[in-house]
Amino acid sequence: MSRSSRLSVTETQRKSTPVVKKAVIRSRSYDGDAFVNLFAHRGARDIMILDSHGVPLRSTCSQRRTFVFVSNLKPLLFMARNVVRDLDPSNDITFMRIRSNMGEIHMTLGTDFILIVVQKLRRLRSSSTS
Amino acid sequence: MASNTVQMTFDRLVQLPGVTGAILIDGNGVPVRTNLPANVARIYADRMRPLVILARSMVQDLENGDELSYVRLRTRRQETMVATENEHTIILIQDNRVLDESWRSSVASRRASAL
Repeated sequence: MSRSSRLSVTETQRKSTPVVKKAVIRSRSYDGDAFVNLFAHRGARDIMILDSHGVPLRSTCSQRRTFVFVSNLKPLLFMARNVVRDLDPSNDITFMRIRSNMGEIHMTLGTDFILIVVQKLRRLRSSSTS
Repeated sequence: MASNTVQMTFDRLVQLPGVTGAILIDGNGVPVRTNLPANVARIYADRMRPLVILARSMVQDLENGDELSYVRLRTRRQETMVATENEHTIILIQDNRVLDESWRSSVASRRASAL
């Protein structure tokens, strides 16, 4: 059965199909939808779940957009991990946040998965370090 | 003029709770001001520079006209914030526990004021 997820009120007309690359057995069919709805309520625009090697498993946006995000973010993730390992070999990165003027990208690095949440800001903000 | 602004911002950032290290880097990648030893600051500056360059190009690729504000790396013990502004870069190293406590207290105070 084809499942769809709604990201926001303005996108009720357009349904985005989650990209499922690996068959996952779930006890309840709406588990992923609850997860997506919770994040959408908090202002998340796109959610992607990758495995530890950077292969996308699930995503709330289209396949092309998922590929663009993953191809851009994967080298950044691995470089960040290497940077942290270089500075302190006993330390390890757990979370990464990239803030820009228009949006924000959160990346959680677990042992088995990588979770990427893309958020959009309400209005344009000037970049300042205050 | 801009250098003075960045220096004042740097002085203000050092006062934040839980800051264990702060480095101010100019456009050429040379640490200008720091409260860490010089060799440690140099190592941080050299390691963070390609990361910032890659993040900046990634942000521009994903969205045209967008600009990178800062990158936060949270590790097991500390959190590193790399903020880029014009040509200068500020690296701030904060302790996880103090950062979480200050964030929790600010959230609690905001909630109390909202009531």
